[in-house]
Amino acid sequence: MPKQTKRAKTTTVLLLSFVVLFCTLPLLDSTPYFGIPLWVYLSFGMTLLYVVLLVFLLEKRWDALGDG
Amino acid sequence: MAEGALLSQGGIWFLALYLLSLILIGFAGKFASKEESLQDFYLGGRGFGITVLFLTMYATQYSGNSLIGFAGSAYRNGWFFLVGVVFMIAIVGGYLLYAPKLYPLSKKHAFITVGDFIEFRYSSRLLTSIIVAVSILALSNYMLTNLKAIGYILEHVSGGFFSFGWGIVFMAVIMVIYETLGGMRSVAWTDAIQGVLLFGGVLIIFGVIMIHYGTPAENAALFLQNAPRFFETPMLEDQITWISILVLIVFGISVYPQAIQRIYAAKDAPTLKRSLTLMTLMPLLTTLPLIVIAIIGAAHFPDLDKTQSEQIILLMLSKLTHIEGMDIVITLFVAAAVAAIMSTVDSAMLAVASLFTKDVYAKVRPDADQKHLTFVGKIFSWLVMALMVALAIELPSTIWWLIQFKLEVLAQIAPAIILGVHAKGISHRSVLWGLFAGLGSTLLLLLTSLPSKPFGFHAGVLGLGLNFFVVYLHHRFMLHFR
Repeated sequence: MPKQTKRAKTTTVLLLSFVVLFCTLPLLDSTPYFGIPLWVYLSFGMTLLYVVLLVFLLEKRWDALGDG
Repeated sequence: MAEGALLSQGGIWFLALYLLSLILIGFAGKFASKEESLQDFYLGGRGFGITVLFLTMYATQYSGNSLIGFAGSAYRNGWFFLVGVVFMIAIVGGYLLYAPKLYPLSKKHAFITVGDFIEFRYSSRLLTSIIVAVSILALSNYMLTNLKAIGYILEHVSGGFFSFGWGIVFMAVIMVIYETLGGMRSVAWTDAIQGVLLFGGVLIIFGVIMIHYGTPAENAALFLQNAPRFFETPMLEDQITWISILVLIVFGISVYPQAIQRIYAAKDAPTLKRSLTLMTLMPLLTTLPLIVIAIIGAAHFPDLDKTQSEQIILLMLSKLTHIEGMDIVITLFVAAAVAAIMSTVDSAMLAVASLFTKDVYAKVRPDADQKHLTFVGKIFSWLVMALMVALAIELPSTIWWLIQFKLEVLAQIAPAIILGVHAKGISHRSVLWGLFAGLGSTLLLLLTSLPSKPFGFHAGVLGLGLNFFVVYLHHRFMLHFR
């Protein structure tokens, strides 16, 4: 992948990680399922997705983040 | 042992041996040092491999507050404190904004402190001085609050055998001894032990609580009966608070000077990125279990006040003392709490001493050699620790509020660091104006009768927004008239 394209894609993933981070906020109602409010499931799911994005950036895009 | 002590005789011996081992590690750090230089003393010769680097980052980031304060917050706020897991992960996201660019620069130009980078990037003594002053203020606050916490813990678990004041003095002396013996090496090696103790302690306590108190699903009926507030649907103000906390933490904690020092201390880039990858996973294995424990505690022990809620884990464990081996689990919890606090205080002390030595003293005495500077740094560590101990014991609670807003103030240095590595054209004047605007507006909101959380946002978050905006405006203005 050309360096410029890789850098642009890395920036997109970095921005996406911030969008996902802010999507962790409690958006759903609090109907309990297994003793846990519904919004927690979505929030925790987004948290796990955020972790995946950070690990991807760290492990695969560290050099691109350091370029430029 | 004093009456009412939570720790058994064996527990006290375990704690004493653990503390003694820290002094021995201090000597090991001294023998391992290669030269008397600031780089060797404050960065361990920039040779930390993945195990030590990851564990020192982990132990430093998880303070006594993470173990005790977070549990109290989760007890009071229920599942809303899931934000604690998110923001501990997001700190690594904050590092990603500058570390990949800052690390190679630090290697090339031999940076030791955050002030070194600011001086290199902006060539402004005024900007460097303000950032160093803000950093020292924030770190001093960090030391003070954690020293107070360790005094309370020792007094509580020893049943008054250690008074609050003597508990602080005792722990402070141990920390300053091993720090002055081996510098960053000793601090990082003791952090490694403390990190293992913290991680192992939390997981074992989580297992014990799940077995004896049940999972959230098993406590569902009890939640609705004793903690119905946990099932109120979050409102707009809750969502604003959530976002505000995330912004404050991402920009505040990720620029802690001791965290930046650990980035500089990495042996190479793969070591640094692998350590940060592991750091991303740790909130799921440390903060989340603590929050679940405290929430289950709220179902079983409702109506505790703020102080009692911060002891919820100890309370839950102390009700299980009829079970064989529980004194070991309680000892483990106390040791983990002490370890979490010590690893935070020692790192903050090392960072304060390095900032003073490199960014203040070395500027006044540019002819001083490395051996002399290292010696001055050690003397300063003793002085700053003595001052912090005196303040932690004597500071009246009426002025305690003055130092509670460290994060909101520290976050204001983030633009100087993040824009410094990304935006080559931005001058020190733009950053200075932004810093003045950010600090000024934050302090105005915090220190006057104006609302400290306008529209639900923390003063520091609004200050940070203004900070970035003023930097941008000034930069555009300068470009226009150039």
